[in-house]
Amino acid sequence: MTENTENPFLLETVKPEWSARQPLTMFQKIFMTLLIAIFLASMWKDPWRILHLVVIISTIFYLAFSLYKLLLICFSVSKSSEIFISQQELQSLDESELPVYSILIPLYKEPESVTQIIKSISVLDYPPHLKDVQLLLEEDDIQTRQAVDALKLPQGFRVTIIPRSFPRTKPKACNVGLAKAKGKYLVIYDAEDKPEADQLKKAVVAFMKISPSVVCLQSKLNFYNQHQNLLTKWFTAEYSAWFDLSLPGLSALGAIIPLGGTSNHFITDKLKELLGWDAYNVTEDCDLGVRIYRAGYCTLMLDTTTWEEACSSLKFWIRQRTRWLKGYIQTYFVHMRNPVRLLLELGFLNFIHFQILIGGIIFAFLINPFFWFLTLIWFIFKVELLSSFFSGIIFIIGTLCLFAGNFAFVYAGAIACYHRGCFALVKYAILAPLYWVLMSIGAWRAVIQFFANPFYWEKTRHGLFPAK
Amino acid sequence: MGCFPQNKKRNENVILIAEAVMLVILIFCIFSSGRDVLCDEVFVRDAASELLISGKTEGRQSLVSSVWWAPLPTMLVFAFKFLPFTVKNGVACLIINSFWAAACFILLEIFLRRNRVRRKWRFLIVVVSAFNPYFVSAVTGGSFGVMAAYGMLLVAYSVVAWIKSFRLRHLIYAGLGVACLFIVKFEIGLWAFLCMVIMCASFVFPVFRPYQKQAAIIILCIPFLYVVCLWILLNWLIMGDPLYFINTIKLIEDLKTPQDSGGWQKIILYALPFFVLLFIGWAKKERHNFCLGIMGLAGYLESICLESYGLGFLLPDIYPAIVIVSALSWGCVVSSLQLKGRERISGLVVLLFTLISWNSSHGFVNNRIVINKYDFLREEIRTYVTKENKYVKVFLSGYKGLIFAPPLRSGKEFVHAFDFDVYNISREYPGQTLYLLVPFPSGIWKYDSLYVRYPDVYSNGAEGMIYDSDWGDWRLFKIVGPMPPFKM
Repeated sequence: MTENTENPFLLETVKPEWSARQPLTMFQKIFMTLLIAIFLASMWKDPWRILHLVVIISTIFYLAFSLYKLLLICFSVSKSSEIFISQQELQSLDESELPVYSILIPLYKEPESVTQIIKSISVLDYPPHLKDVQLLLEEDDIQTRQAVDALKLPQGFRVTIIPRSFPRTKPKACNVGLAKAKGKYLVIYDAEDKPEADQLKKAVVAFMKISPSVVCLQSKLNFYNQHQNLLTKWFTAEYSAWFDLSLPGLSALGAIIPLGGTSNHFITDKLKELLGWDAYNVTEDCDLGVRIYRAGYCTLMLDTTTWEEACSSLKFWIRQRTRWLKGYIQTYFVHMRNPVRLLLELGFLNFIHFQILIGGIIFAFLINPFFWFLTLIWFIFKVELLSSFFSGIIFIIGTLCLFAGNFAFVYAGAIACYHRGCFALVKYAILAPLYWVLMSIGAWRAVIQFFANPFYWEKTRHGLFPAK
Repeated sequence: MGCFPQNKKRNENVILIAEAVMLVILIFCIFSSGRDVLCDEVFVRDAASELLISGKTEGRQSLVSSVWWAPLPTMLVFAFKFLPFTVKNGVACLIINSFWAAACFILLEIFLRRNRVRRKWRFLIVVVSAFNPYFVSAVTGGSFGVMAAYGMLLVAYSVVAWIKSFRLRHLIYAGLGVACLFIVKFEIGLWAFLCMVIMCASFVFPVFRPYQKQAAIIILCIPFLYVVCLWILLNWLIMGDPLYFINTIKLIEDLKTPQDSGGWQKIILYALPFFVLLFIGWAKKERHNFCLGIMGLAGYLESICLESYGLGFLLPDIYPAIVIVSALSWGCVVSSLQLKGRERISGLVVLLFTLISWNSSHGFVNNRIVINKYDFLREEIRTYVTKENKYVKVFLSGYKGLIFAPPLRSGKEFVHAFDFDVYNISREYPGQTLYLLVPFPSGIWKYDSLYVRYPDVYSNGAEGMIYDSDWGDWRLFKIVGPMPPFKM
């Protein structure tokens, strides 16, 4: 395998069944076509019964999903759900024993962010000679290359040029960087990131004190421009709920953790063993998070934060969300190519986690608009026909999900903001249902794009927040 | 899961707790098996949940239409009704209440442990609480006062812990606790609401960062406001009037009667630790102890107010909550004494609590337990009304009607109506002989919505109905058709 390590498509070459290059296998295509055909035929024959069935399945799903989220929040309350590194532990660290730390920074058409990211990495509390920082620049991205060339790079920084090839994705660039990484540990930062100064040292201490089966530590992510506009406030509430409540909850449960796109700390050798990232997956982090567990390793949450820039433009926000959800769809279908094997590799509980976390999230965002519409129709026009879909226990479960489930999600957002110390945002978290509408728009765009243009990387534009 | 050793320990605790819960459920179920007396609430909740299962409008109406019959217990019973062995009357209520009783003791144990009360004293306080007659009778009778006691304990401890440490989790528990109590037992919800006000008073302390007070108030109040809005919304959707569920509150002043005494004096000794905590809190400047004392006494204050307004019949549901908060307070007193190394006095305090609890069993009369005696009476009425005409409907308005004629088991002659209106009924059932069966208005039953529209219906009847006959404490009226809306 060593002769191929500089191949950015290593995963696709060695384990094509784990790569999203082929979005759907032939079997999956046939299965889905059959499923849709049966659905349409049944709808033609007895539409009310089929709609009733859809309502029942969706209602049960909503219940399971709501309970699952609540379970995660309950578990996240426990301190043992994250790795805490005290100041004493950091101070007792012998700097002479620190290993080389590789830092990958993929940049594409972001000349305005170059100065900031170099500054953010430079201030990290880690000996400069032990930092192995690679700025991953695309061959044809002249602007960013010029911006980098115009600067005098600090000690430990170097530029790695990514040869022009298809697809033009971040994971492909990262794979090139991984092949050239010299460090024992490796972390990825985005161009607009501002990690906490002691993050690298915390990761080193954490890796030293935890089980060898842990190959990745996920830092928490949050935003420095949270007050910029309503969208960034909602985005912050969502990120706080995800990184401060849900992921620690998953960590406490020992469940698979879909990695965040940045600030994942890896043991470099183990990452190479996992064949790096999937260059064809647009949420390569989520996919890698699942593969870590399939290979018998695990991920934990590290109590440190990387501050990012929240996308403040609605247009770019929807594009970003589309990409994320498209990546979730890719990941779901890649790993569900052989469900039995997935079940055996992940174990029953993690298999369920996978179904709810990856498949469930997409399904929820896709069906939400229909149920909002039905609810609205029922509230306004009191159409009796709709009541017939929600009979008996389904009515009660549906009511429970509508009133208790939705409230739990909104309340969790408010709690997360308080937990994070974003007190001013708590009141905006209450308005989160409006934000969910945007998510559903993103989900539907993702589905369309998954079939139309699966590898297209919708770039998020940063630098809309004036840097201080 | 094995990544954190501490998770393993926590999982062990979860298993232990689950085992303890199952054991207590088993004990209470064995203890209550074969009983033929149950609290009236059991029959109401059972019947309402059966109506819900059948998908009838009356089921939804029974769920939301009265503040005196808050919806959450019915929802829980409804969920249990899908289990085959819970079809029998009261079984679902007994299981649910046994569960909450077990949860209550576990919570008390946890709270006492966090207050650093020694194991032996903790154990004694929990055991004495578990065998307290008010508690035992509530559990075995199937009253949801037990669930409310759990909620109240959670709220009381959360307020105390918040005042001590200002930690988020206590804010959440208090907020959710108050909201849940409001939809379990409205009257205890009021007490919990008072505790929430006390909690809000803590915001005067200068320990908060900018916007933190605002955020804390939102997190604390949002669940409560949400359930209130939800209740209003459901009333608007189901009853057609957003404030239908509180319509009967306006009857309180008119229906005040001395016979509805709840006898709060019987539990006055349980207030002792509250006074002690007030003193300790004041003397040692411990605001958490002071607050617990205030909260405990607030329960008594509410009891006195309810009784003075003729709502004494609600008090037996408050007693388990008072007992359990009192037990927590005894524990806090012990904890304060332990700090000074006064082990013997701690023992005496626990002994005092035991004696008070034991004393409660003397002369303990649980007047809320009733025998379901209406089967025979119901058949007699059915025979009477179907003697001349088999197309007959006997309307039972309000929640007592659910006890008298459990739906789906009482035949098609008996019809439940939670918003009875002679004019509408006559239009809906033309050509049939219609009756209205009205119970004697006493206790909680006098706050049924029927008495809002027809205040003197039992004694004087109402327009469109004539007196027919008396059946025990029930009175049968024949509906002769209402006066036309516009008299010429």
